[in-house]
Amino acid sequence: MNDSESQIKSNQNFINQVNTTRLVVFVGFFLGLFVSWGLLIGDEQGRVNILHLLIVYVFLPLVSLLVSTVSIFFNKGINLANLTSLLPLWSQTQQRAFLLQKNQQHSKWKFFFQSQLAALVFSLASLLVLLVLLISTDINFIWRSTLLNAEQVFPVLEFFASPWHFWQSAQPNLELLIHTQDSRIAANQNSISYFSAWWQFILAAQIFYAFLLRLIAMSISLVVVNHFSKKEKHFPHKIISSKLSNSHDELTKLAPIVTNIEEDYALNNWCAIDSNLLQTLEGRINGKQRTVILAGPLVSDSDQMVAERWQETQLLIVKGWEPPLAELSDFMKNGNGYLLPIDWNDQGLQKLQSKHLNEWRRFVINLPSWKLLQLEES
Amino acid sequence: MSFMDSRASFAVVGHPNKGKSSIVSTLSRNDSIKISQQSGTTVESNRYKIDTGNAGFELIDTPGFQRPKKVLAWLKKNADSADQRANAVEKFINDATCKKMFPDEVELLTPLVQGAAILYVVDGSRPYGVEYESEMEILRWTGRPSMALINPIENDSHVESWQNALNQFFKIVRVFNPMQADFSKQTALLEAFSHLEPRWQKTLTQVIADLQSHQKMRAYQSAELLSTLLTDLCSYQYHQKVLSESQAKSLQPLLTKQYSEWMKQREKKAFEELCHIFSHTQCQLEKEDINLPPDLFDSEQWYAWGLNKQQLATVSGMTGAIAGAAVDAAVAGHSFMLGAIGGGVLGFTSAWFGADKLVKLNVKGLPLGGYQAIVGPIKNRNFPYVVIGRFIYLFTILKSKNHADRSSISMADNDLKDKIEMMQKNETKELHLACKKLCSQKPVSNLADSLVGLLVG
Repeated sequence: MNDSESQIKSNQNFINQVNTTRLVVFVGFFLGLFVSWGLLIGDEQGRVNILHLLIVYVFLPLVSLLVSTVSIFFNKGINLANLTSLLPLWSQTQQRAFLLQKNQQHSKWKFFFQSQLAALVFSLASLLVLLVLLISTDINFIWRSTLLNAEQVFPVLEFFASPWHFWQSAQPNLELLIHTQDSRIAANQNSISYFSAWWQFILAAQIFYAFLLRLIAMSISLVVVNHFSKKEKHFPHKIISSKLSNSHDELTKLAPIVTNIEEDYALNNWCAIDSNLLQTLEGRINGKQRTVILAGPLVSDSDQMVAERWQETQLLIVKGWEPPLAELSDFMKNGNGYLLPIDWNDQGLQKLQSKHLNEWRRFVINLPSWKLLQLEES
Repeated sequence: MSFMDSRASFAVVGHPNKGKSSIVSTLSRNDSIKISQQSGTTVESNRYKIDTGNAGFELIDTPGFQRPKKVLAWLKKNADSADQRANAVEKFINDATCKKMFPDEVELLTPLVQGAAILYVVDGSRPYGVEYESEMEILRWTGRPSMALINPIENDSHVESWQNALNQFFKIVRVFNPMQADFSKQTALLEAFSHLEPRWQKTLTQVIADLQSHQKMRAYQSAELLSTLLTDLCSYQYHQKVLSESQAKSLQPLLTKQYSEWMKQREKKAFEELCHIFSHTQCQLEKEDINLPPDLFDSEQWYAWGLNKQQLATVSGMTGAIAGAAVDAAVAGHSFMLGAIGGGVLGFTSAWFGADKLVKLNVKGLPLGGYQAIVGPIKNRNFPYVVIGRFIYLFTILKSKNHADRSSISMADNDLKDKIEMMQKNETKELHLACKKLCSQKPVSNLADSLVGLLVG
């Protein structure tokens, strides 16, 4: 993880102190638990109306999925997560977390994803309740209707059961439907085995309409949310450095500055400044110039060799704005004297900038036979 | 062939202290490259592979020439004619004695022998010097495509004389100031790079397209960041539960201090993240703290489980309704849902009217209610505009700040009036509505979209 990513992550931690997904999932789980318990526990004889179960496990999941999917394209998105955020139960911090989420780009997809996750958890809670009750109590699945008879209900159930046509024992059949029709005033004389025979159909309905459908919806929404979040966070400009540190530590020791030459010297015009400028300089130096030696990048090899053997005091003049190069350093190691970095423009000599002067001072500190000369301003 | 195979590679070479590292820093958008006024800071060639998503290129920061005259003399001894010059350079970089005697030149010439193009950098504020010709001659011997960049470090008074000299040695000569060159000048330079080597043209054209799209993306990312910051600062509330109203009031100075500290830290974090969006990771901010409106303190009663009166009534109503619904279910719907309705109403009203008594109750010594000292949220209508103004001020600076520029940024408040006037009428309306909603802690859909106009415009 690079610096930038960890910075963004730490900021997210700073902002999102409350995980809204957990709150929404919590609501989905408890809704699933309470609704399914309330429905499947039945009356005092354990009778549970299949048609009511179909409303909760088939009709509601289908309609809510349809509404939440359609509304995300035409509206802000109506879904469980959005409705959960409106509950007046949340603390100030939780409300802020929901508000932050709502104000983010593509937030409706995040809410949609959270809703699918909550619906998935709802169906898991429902399945859990069904399995627990199937094991621990006798559920009597019946159906009642004032207007409909078994022949009319059967094709509807058969249609709903078509997704699990390969699961024969979970398919509805007309005979079972006739035998499990219940009336609150007429006592039902049918065998007990008929009433429990619907459990596989109910389980299949829950798995296919509540669980699998939401699993697909949640997976799709997760892909969309990841796509948006990658688009927002991913920044393709990357720099890969071959080395992290390739630098010398900066030197802070500086050589002292002298302001005049009190002895005779040989002039070494390393930077080849013109004669007018040279005359101006000579007029400001106390010491006497005895001779001229030639060295530097522009002189011939033979002149350079003579200069390199010179053992008397030199006045070496260099361009002050240029950094000292190793070729100058190589030359100076063999001689001694004064180094005078100068700066000039069209009007003549000008004061050396402090950044350049410091560069030369750092350079001369390593050459004990040399002194750094700076002429006092006239 | 992927873009990695045809990656354009440029070695930035020249005299020491002429801004080579600054050029690499600006073009690679990398402010971690060391730039120093001391010469000889770069002692080894350092490669920066810049990946722009669909393409990329490589910049190599090299040490400066140190002994060009002697190196040229060595090369001349080892090549009798022009056809042997490139081989002589290759021999030079592989020669053990040369590695010892001329480490800087070996280091800077190695990437050129390996196939990089030459970007030769000089200072246009200082006069041309004949001593530079040894360096240029050495570079010409490599036979690599070359371009010269005149960096007017202090001024441009000697640019013309440099141009006259450099045109004789280099195919392309450009003036480029890494401290001041704006985005269009940077892309123009990359475009000039593409003319150096025909096989790099496609990849560099893609690099330019990528960089232009990144520039837009940064504005949208910044708008998203600003929207989160605004929501956070406008909705933040700091609270502390206590037993009595007087205790709540005594906490005011402490809570106000903690609240304003949080607000400052939150803004600081957002500013740091904004710097990261622009890859200014080392950026120093001299920030004047945001001014918060006065009178943000309040105190209110709380009841069981920390709920306020409305929340307590709602919870009680819902619990009553669920209990009533259970009764409805038990009587198989004969009650016509009266259980649920009645339970809900009963729960709500008893909680509403009985809540005040809870404050005085204790269960095993634990209070069932009390008071709450609260600071925030800010409801001042001007506050979102202050936050936006400060953010946009920094955004504008970062947008034009080059990565070679290591100066610190002084933060200041920014008057948004001109920016808002430049926006379209519907955008202005959308922005004002968004700010109004933020002040009342209501959600604003597509807040970032409402803000991006201010950043792009």
